[in-house]
Amino acid sequence: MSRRILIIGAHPALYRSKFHQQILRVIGGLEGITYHDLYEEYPKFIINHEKEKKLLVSYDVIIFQHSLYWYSAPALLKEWMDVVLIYDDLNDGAQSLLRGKFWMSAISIGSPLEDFSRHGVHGYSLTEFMRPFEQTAKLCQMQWLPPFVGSGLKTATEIEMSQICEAYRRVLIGLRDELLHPEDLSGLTYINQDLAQLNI
Amino acid sequence: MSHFAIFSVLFTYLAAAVVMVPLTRYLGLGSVIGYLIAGVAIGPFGLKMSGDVNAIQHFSEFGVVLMMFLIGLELKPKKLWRLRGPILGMGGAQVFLSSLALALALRFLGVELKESVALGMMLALSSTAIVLQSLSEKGLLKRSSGQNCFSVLLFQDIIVIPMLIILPLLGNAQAEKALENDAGWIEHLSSFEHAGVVFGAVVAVILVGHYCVSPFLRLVTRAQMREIFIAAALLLVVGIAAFMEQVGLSAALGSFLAGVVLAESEFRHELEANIEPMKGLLLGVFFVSVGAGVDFNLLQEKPMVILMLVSGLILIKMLVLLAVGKLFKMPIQDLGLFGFALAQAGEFAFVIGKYAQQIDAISETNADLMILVVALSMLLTPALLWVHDRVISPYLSGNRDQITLPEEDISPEGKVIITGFGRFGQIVGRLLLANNVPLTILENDPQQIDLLRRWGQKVFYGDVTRADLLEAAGAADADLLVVAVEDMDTISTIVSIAREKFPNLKIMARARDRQHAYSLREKGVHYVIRETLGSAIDMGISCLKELGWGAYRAERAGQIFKGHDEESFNLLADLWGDEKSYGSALVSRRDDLKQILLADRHDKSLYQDTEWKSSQEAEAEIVEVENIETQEVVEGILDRITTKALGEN
Repeated sequence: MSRRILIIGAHPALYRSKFHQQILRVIGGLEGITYHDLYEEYPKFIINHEKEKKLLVSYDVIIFQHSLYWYSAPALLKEWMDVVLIYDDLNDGAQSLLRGKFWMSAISIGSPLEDFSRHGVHGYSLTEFMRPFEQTAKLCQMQWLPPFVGSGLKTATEIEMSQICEAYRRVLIGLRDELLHPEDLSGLTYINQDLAQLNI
Repeated sequence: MSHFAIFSVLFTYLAAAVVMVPLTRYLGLGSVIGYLIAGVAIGPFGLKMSGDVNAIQHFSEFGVVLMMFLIGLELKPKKLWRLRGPILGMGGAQVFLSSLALALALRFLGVELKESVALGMMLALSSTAIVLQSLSEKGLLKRSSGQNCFSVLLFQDIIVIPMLIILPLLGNAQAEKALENDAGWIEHLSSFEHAGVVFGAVVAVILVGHYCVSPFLRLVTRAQMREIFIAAALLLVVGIAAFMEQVGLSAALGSFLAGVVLAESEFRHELEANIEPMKGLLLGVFFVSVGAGVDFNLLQEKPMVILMLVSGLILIKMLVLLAVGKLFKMPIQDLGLFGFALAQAGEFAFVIGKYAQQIDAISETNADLMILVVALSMLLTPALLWVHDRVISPYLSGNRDQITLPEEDISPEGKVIITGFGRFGQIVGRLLLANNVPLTILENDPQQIDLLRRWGQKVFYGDVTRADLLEAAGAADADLLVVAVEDMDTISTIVSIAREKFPNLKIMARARDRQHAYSLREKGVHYVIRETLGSAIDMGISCLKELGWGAYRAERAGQIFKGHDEESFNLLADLWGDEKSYGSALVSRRDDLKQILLADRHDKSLYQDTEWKSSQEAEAEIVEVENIETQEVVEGILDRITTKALGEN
């Protein structure tokens, strides 16, 4: 038994990000996971929504993987959401395209997590900044999972980056092989806040 | 020699080469060995058919002159500068230390001081021909291990010149004067004046080369005859070589200089392509003559001595190489190749040896001995490399615990070759250049080249439909070949040749129209684009904007159209494949256009931007599509339209 995972990745300048390249190598080494690179497929920003909808249908877990650009998604991912997630399509009674599928945001941020607090630089928690994604998932009738967060990347060493990659790998396997269930995750703020506890 | 004698000797030499060389190459031993063995086979110790070896050698020494010319030509000042560390450092150390060690060893064996030094210098040089060829066959030239060998060989090539200058000092002054009888007026000069004349000559060659040769060759190319160009090129080399000999320097130095001066000209690739085969052949004959001149009697008389000398030579050189490599912190795997590949003595020993003997720097006995020893060391090189590959290299790699990183692929310049630098090629080229992609540009319109060079753009002249020019331009190693010439048939020819000769080279081709594009696709082009597509779509987009459409809306419409057009292009390509065997061009073109317009009509909705519409709009659109007339009626209309349209063209 395994879940089919689709990772929708959006990075406008992959050639500049060692971390995201490393993440891609992690994904490449895993079976049963499809990576869909938006900036590669739609360099002219003309997204084919029929094609995207057909793609989404055949997966159980949709992971949106990106850096947090100004507390939000990179432009092309936002474009994707605007073009593909049409409210009417997704809420058309029993035919809703995405009903019941999992939405997990896997984001990378430069600052340390502590900055995302009332007294920190960003003034609000990360959870609050993720509300638009969370609410979008809900309106698409999807199950929102706690996000995977790779933080502190502005100053991370190679070892720290590798640790984040390794955690991501374990989470992906956990989701794929059904070692993780929504019930286990309900209390968590981030899916990778305490992997040991999750037995993956 | 009589007519017949000349022919029969030539026949013998060529026959020997033709038989031997493919054999040795097949066995992985390289061509130089083949030539040498061929020479031995036809020489006095074989079939005794070699005729007047000295005369042949004299004639084929011209091959050496051409070789030095090509070496100079292929020298890229930027590359030289980039490699100046390894070249001067490793190369200098290797030559100096080897000469020293060998000279000391010879002195120890009882050879006179001056002769020891002369012999030491000559034996320090390795065989450029064998090593470069073996490395290139093994694909190692691009890697750092190969590059180290290359740097040392390059230094050795350059140091030949000073060696030729130093040798007379080691020789017998009278013998030298005797040699220079032809040079006439030189003998009357003091050495100071002589140096001045030499300096003047070198400067003259540089100036003439830089300012006069290119315009001269440009004039020659106007004649549009390949053989005249070749003649002019040879004229150049011979002229400069002769001039240098008059002044008392060697022809080799002169031609080397000529090559260096022409390395930056637009004719470099064309010169390379034309002279390379001649050099190859003459050099081959030279090696055959060397093989024929090897004195096997000596081997019979003193086998142990010879054996000791050969192994001593290889051992000493190898030790020096390993020491130099270690000194320059070469990784251990590279050290193995470095030591084994360069341990032999090379063809320069034959060339310089002759000269040295004439000026009495070395005795005749020692010269003969040296030739034998050098030839044997050359013959042993493939065996040495085999030992390295099978025994040493795996041993060295196996010893490393961590994963070895792949060696840095040092690609020489020119990852992309563009043929044709006119209206289309220029834009592609400029885009790539602006993004630091190394380009080699080939053009055959002298006026275009002229114009471009005046603006500082590096362009090379040549008939781009010739495989040897493409090869000289680096097609074997390039990543992409962009075919951007204007003429349809030329495009197709280049594509055919490139697909045949360089099957791993990705081709990006400009197509004149759909039909041309289909045929190019069938030839296996990696990427083909109809030359007018992009501009026409941009025009269409601009039209929409002028008609009041929002910019983004117009842009999307254009991209959607382009995407759909590409799809139908791919679909129709297969159709074209079936129908191309019959029917007139007009009919098939008409059908083609008809198919396209029909498809457009039916799939109209696909052309339209369906995003961001409300559900009411979506419904209205479905109704509209259902109102389209039946296919036959549409076809009838289209028939009339297309006939009229094609008729008017």
